[in-house]
Amino acid sequence: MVIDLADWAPLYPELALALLIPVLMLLDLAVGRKRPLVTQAVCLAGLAVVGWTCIVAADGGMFGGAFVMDSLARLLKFAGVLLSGLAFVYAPRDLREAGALRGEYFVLGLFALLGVFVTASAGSLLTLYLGLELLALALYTLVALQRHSALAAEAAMKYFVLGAIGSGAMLYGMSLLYGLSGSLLLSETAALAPESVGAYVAAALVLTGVAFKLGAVPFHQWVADVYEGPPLGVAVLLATVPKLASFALIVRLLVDGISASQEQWNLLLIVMAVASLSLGTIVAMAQTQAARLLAWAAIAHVGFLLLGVVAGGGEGLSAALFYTLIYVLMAAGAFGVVIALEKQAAPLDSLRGLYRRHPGMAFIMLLIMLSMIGIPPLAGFLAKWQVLMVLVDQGLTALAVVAVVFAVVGAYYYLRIIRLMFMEAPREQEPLKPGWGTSVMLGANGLALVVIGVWPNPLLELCRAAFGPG
Amino acid sequence: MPEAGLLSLIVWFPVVAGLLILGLARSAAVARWSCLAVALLEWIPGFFLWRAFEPGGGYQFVERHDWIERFNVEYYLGIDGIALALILLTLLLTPAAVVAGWRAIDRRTGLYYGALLIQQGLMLGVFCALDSLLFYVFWEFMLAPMFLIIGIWGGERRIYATVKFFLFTFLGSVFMLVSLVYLYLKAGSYAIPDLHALPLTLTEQQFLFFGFLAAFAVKVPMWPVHTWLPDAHVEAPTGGSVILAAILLKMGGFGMLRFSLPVTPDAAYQFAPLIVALSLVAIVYIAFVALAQRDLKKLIAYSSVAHMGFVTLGMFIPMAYAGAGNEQLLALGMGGGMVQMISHGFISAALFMCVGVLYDRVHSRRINDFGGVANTMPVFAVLLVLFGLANAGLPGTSGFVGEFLVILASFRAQPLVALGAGTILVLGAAYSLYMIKRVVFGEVANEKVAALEDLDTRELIALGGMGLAVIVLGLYPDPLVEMMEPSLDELARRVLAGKAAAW
Repeated sequence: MVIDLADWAPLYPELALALLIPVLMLLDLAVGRKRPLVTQAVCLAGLAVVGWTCIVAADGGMFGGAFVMDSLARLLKFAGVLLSGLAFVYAPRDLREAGALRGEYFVLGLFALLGVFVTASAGSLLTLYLGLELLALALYTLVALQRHSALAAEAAMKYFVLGAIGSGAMLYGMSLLYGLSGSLLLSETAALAPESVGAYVAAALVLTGVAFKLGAVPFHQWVADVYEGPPLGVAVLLATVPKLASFALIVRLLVDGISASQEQWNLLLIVMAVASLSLGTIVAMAQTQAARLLAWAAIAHVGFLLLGVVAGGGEGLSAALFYTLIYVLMAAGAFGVVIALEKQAAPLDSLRGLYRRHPGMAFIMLLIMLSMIGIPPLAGFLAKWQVLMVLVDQGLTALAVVAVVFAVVGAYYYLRIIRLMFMEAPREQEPLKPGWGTSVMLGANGLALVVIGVWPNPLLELCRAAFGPG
Repeated sequence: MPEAGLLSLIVWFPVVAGLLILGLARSAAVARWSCLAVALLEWIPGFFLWRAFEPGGGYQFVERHDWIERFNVEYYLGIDGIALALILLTLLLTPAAVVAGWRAIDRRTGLYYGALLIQQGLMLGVFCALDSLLFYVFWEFMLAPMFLIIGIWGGERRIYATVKFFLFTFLGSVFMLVSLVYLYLKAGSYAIPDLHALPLTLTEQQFLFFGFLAAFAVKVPMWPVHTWLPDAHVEAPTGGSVILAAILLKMGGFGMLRFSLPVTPDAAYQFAPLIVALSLVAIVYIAFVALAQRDLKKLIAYSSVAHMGFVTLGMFIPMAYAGAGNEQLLALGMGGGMVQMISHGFISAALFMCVGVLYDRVHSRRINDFGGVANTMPVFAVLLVLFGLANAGLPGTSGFVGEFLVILASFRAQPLVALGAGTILVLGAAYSLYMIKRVVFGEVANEKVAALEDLDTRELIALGGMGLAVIVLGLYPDPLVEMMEPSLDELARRVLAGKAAAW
C-alpha cells in the first residue's frame, strides 16, 4: 500500500507536532541537559513550522468523521501555537529561578498543545475525550514540575483529583449519549430526542465536565490554587492554552453534540455564567497575589464569554470565540509582565512603581489592564461589546446589563494594578532587565491588543467564518 | 487649507504628538515647550475650521469611511454649530491647562504633558464623532489619561479621588453602551444621524433615555451623582482641574444635545420635569454647599455643579412647561445652556488656574490661609475679582449672558421657576464675593501672603487671555450665538416633532 501524504493533508498540524515532540525529547537528552535554552530555541522554531502547517492544512474529515479539520479548528490551533510560543518565551526566566527549567517543560507543553489540537478537531466523543485527557495529563505533570515545592505538589494533587472528577462526569455523560444514540459521532448524537430524560441527564453531566475544564462556578475551586501553586512559567501556559480546548469542547460537545437539548442546558449555562461573573469579580477584589487575582479574574472572564454561548447561534458563538482569543492574549501578556518582575509567587506589591523601574513594561501592562476592563478601542472592549450585542439581539438585555455592571466592578482591581504601577513608589530601586526575547514578545503582545482593537476586521471575519456564513 | 481631513488633523495631531512626547521627551523643558507648541499649533486648523464653517449647513467637514465592516461601524466625523463651539473652547483652553502645570509638575513631565495632549485629542474626538460607537471610543478612552493625571500628580487623597472618578463615569457610560447596542440592532447602523431618524416607541425611548442619562448625568454632573467631582477637582493637579471643569463636564451637556434629546425626544419630553427638578436641586442646594466650603478648589468645584445645573435647566425647562410646538423657546433654552457651558468653561478654568497660582506659591488651598492678597499681587487680584464676578453672573461678562438666556427661557416657560432660579443667583454672588473678600481684600494675613510674587508672564498671558474672552463674550456674544443658532433650531424642530407618533 502506498501512503500518499496528500491524503493526510487535514492532519498536517498534528503530524508535525507529533514529530516535533520526540525530536525535542531526544535533543533535550543530548544537549538540553546543560543548555535548556537550546531546547527552547528548537522548540520555538518547530512551533513556527507547526503554525505554518496549520495554515496550509486542508479542510476535511478523517477516520470516518472522527477527526474534522475546519476553519474553527484551524483558528484554534493557530492560536494555540501562538500562545504556546508566547508562554515558551516568557516562562524560562521564571522556571530557572524556580529550579524547574528543564526540557520536560517544553515537551509537556507541546503535549498539551497536541491535546488542544485533537480536541479542536474532534468529530466524535472518543476523539474529544482523548484530546482532553492528553491535555489534562500533560498539565497535571506540568503543575508538579517543581518537585520539591509543597505548594506545587498540593496544586497538582488538587488539579488532578478535581480534574479527574470532571473528566469522570463528562465520560459518564458521553456514555449515556452513546447509549442513547448508538453512535460516537457528534453529528449523530446531535439528533437525539431532546425530551428524553436520559438526554437531559447526559447534557447535565457533560455540562459539569465542561464547567470543570473551563473553571466556571460552581466547579471553579481548583483555579486559584492551580494558578498559584506551580511556578508562574507554568501558570502562564495553564492560563491560556487550555482555554482554547475548553472553547472547542463547548462548541463540539454542547453546540454540535447535544444541540437538540439546548433549551434545557441553556438555563444551566446562564446560571453558571452569571455566577462565574459575579463570584469571580467579587473575590478577585480581595486578592493580594498576582496569580490568584488573575485566576479569579479568569473565572469572571469565563462567565462573560459563556454569555456569548448562551446567546447562541453563529453570531453568539463567534462572539464567544473572539472573546476567548482576546482573553488568552491578554492573560498571556499579564503573566508575561508578572514573570518579568522576577518575583517568585509574585505578590501584587511587586508591581509597585513598575513605571519607574521599567516604563515600557508598565505601559504594556497598562494597555493589558485597560483592555481587560473593556476600555475602547482596545481588543478587550470589542470582545465585551460583541457579547453585549448578541445578548441584546436575543432579547437578553437584562443579562447584558448584569454583565456590564460586573465589568465596572471588575475595573476596580485592574485599576489597582495600574495604580500600583504608576502611582506608588517602588520597593526596590534597581531597574528591571527583561531579556530581549521577553521584551519583544511583550511589546508585540501589548501592541496586538491595540492593533486588533483598531483594525479588527480580519479577526472578526475569521471568527465568523469559523461558524459558517451568516 | 483643504477641508477634507481637517477634523482628523485636529483630533489626531495632539494624540500623536502626545504619544511622541510621552515616549521621547527626556527633559522637563522639552516636554513643556513642545506640549505648549502643539496646543498652540492646534489653533491654526481650528482657525480655518471656524472661518470655513457655515452656520446652518448641517453637518460639515464630514469624513466617512468604513471601520468595523461587520457591524457597520464607521469612522464618521462631522460637526455642527454646537460641536464647533465646544471644539473652539477646547482649543482655546488647552494652552491654559498646559501653562497651569508649568511650575507644579516637576516629575515625570513627559508622561504628564503627553497624557494632557492625548486627553485633548480624545475630547475633540468626542465633539467630532458622528458615529456613536466612535463617540463611545473617544468618550471612554478619555478616562485613562485623566485617571493617570489625577492619580499621579494629584494631592493627598488622589488615589481615592481618581478611582472614584473612573468608576463613577465608567458605570454611567456602560449603560450608554447598552443603549447604543440596542439602537444599533434596531437601526442597523451606529451613525448618529441614522439614530436621530430611527422611529422608536415610547417605552423603548424611556429605557434608552435613562441609559443615556446615566452616562451624561454623571459627566455633567447632575445632583445626586455629582459627588465624584469635588473629590476629583480637589485632588487633581491644576491642569487636570482646568481640563475637567472647562471641557470634560461639557461632554455631558453635549451628549444630551446629541443623544438624549434627538434620539429619545418623547421620553425627554416626558421626563423633562424630573431633570428640571434635579437641576433646581443642584442650583439651590449645591450653592449653599459651596457657601460653606473652606477649601478654594472645593468651592469652585461645587460652584461648577451649580452652574452646570443651569445648563440642564435651560435644556429641559422649555419642554417641562411650555408644551409642544414651542420650538423657539426650546432653541432659546438650549442656546442658553450652550452659552452657559462655553462661559463656564472659561470662568471655571480661570478660577482653577487662579487657585493654582496661589497654591504654587503658598502650597495651601485653605481660604483661611489667605487674606489681603491684593496688597502683594495687585494684577492677580484684579483678574481674580473679574472671574469671581463673572462667576456670579455680572452683566458685561459671559457669565451673565448664559444665565440670562436660561432665566429668560425659564421665565417664558414657567415664571415661578425663573423666579426661584433667579433668586438663587444671589447665592452665586454670595459665595463668589465671600471668597473674594476673604482671599483678596483686607490686611495681609500672614508672612506667606506678604512674600507673594505677582503673576509671571506666562500666567499673565493665560489668565489675561481668559479674562479677555470672558469680557468679549459678555459684551458681544453674537458670533457664538449665530454659530450655534441654526443647529439649535434644527435640533429643536426635531425634538418637538417627536418620534413615537411616526412609529
